[in-house]
Amino acid sequence: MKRKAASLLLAAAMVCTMLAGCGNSQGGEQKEAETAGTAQETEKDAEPAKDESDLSNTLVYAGESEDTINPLLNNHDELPSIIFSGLMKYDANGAPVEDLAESYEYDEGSMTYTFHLREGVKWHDGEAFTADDVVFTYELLTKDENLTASITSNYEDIKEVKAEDAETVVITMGQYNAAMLDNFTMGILPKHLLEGEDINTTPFNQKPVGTGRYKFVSWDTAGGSITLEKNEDYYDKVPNIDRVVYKTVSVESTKATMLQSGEADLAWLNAKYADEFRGNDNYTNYDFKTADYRSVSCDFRTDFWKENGDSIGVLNYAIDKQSIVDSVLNGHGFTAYSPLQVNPYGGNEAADIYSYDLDKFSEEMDKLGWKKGDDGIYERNGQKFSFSIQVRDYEEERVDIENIVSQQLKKAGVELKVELVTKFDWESGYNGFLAGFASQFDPDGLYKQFVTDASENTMAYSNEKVDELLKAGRHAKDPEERKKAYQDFEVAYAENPGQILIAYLDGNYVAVKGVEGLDNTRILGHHAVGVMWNIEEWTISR
Amino acid sequence: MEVRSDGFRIVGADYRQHVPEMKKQTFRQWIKGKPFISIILLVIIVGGCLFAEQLYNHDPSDFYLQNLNQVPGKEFYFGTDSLGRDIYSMIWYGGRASILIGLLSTVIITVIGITYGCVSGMCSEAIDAVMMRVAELLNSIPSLLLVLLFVSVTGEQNIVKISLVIGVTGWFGLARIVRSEVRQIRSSDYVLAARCMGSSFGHVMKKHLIPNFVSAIMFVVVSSISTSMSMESTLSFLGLGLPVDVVSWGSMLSLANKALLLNTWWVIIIPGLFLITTLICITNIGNYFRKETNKKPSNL
Repeated sequence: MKRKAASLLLAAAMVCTMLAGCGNSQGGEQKEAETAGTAQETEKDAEPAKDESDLSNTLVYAGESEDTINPLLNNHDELPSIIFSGLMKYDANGAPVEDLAESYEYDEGSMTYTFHLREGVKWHDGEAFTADDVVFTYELLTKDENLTASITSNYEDIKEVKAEDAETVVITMGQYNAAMLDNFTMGILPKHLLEGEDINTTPFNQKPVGTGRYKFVSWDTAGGSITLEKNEDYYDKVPNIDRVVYKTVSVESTKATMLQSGEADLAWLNAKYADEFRGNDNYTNYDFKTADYRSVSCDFRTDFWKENGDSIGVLNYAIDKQSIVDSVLNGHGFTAYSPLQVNPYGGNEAADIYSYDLDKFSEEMDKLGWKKGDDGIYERNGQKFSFSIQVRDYEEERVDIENIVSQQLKKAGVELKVELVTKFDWESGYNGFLAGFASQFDPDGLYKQFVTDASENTMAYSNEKVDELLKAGRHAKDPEERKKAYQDFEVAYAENPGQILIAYLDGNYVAVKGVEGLDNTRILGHHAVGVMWNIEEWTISR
Repeated sequence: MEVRSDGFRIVGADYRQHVPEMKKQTFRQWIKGKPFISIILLVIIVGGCLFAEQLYNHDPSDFYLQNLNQVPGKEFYFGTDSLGRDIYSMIWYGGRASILIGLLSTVIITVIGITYGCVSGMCSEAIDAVMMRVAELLNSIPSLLLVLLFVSVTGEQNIVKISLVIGVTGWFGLARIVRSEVRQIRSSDYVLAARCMGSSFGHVMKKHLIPNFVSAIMFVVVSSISTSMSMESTLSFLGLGLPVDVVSWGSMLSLANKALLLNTWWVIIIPGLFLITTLICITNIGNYFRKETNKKPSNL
């Protein structure tokens, strides 16, 4: 009898735990919180109640993975731009306007910018923001030898940065730079927290303190979410949305699934997944124009391209780019011929010199001295036209693009080996990667990537003519003169490209119903970044 | 002993040669209890994979960009996926890889399992105990974990490599069965005799041990084909198996997540159906072997 009762009890207990288990599986985080132990429970008691009431005004954004939040190191990510703010910021049309600077003057004779800073601006930790912080940041950018940032080439014309008083900063240029106001949009870092730190590795990069619209609260690296809270003391319009939870998910299908299951409110999806949400009343599609293009970027540090760099442009003849736009991008994009195609300074159609034409392809290959071998693959000087291109396996759209390009090249007699990696590996000798780049603002954004030995020129592309034209574009004062330089650059680059440009994509954002205020006037950047440019205007109603 | 009958003549009234009544077995009786449906299905599927070249109507590795996400129909019998690949042609090619991996892994499992089991069974108590504990210890580690470990060590996968990984991590169970069978027959007279005559271990194993336990392990061997195949699909589904350009049923299933989002059911259902049918058929056949063994008097 006793035994029976005991077994009954045991069975009941088991059923209970099973039920509890089922309930938990719906929210992985809940489960984690529960197993975290009772010690924390008392501490957390107060928080969940607050969380729950807050949820109505919390935006859950599913975005790219992050490991650092620092405007110097991450120049195409969403979070640095809302946690930090710069002397200038971009308006809806992508033109620089004053931000932390209340006003500025430029003196042509002495080539100096004088910035008058806003008064009463506070860092998120309560410290006052001063001119010293600006000087500190720009000195880091221009003088710190250890800094490994891709944007340093943008600031190489700065000669001196000086604080005249607590509210005035004077920046003296060594040479006129047409894009300097754009470059001044870079977020300012707090001197009082970072002085003497190694900026590449400082723990500050994981708990940033800025002057921007949102404050960093916490980073749950295990669960992959970053929590931000609105900055009540913000010097301009304080955002409507109280909290932003940024979930770090890279896998495109996961982002789509999260939107479907209600785990996320807003995400950038690839064209195919975004189309699945169209016509569904519970979601709103926001389609942005972007300057984001996809290309097969060739690594000139590898022997293959050192020897065969002359044969990149010709590959364009063998690729039916329109079919890629129609299939992979579901038509949400257009074929690419220049890295400046959507920039007001670019878009020179004379640079569109390649069409999909297999006869022309074999003709040009003959001219270059390539001969088809027995296996149907071109050969020259005993070397096969065969190269490997790495692509991150979770970026489905890029993998699809590369698979199709590889297939089309194979039919033409060129072998492109698709190498799936989980993380880009720059040292293993892959001949390049499936790249994405964008120059949504001043065309000078290209300088750091295309000029020989510039800070973002990781693929070691080098072309004298391109160097010359991009330098001319940077230093010319007359917009017409600049335009001519950039248009000439497009042609010069098309003739001797370092990458096979494939297509420009649209920025397809999908939001759950009730998220409003997204403004698609702005042309977005790489990975459709910049959507939060007017986040202070957004609202959520549930 | 043969009785010579030519010297004698049997006589007698109304003599009739006695012919024991041999009822001719009807086909129905012959197939009774045999898993013939499974065999037929398996033959169809394996045959289809073998003659993939004759069966396919599209290039399985080509992208038909004009025909994305086509519902199964006249031109694409099983439809196309989101990049316009023809599922019908891929099924037959993919099956080759899947079945080959299943067979190859099974060969590896069988060779390692039998050798290890025989050695362990024939050795002294102490060595036997150590060898068996090692096998049990390894068996207690979830095999997926072991496989993942090996996969990450071996780098880029191909059919042989992946079979090797699956084989190397899958023989523990078989070794234990073989060992217990060997323990039972090792002291039989014929084994003792053979050993007394100085025959080598290999000879004893080949001539005496294996023929005696082969029926007992048949079930395990056959079903390890199906476990290996499902392990391959698991790995490919997780993106750790064969590279994307090698089509297998598993790598076809790895598109499932995408297909679910895009509402293209045929991309998931059809390779899944083929995989499951094959696995069930193999298991069914394996089960038949098990039943047959159990019917026979015990080897004791």
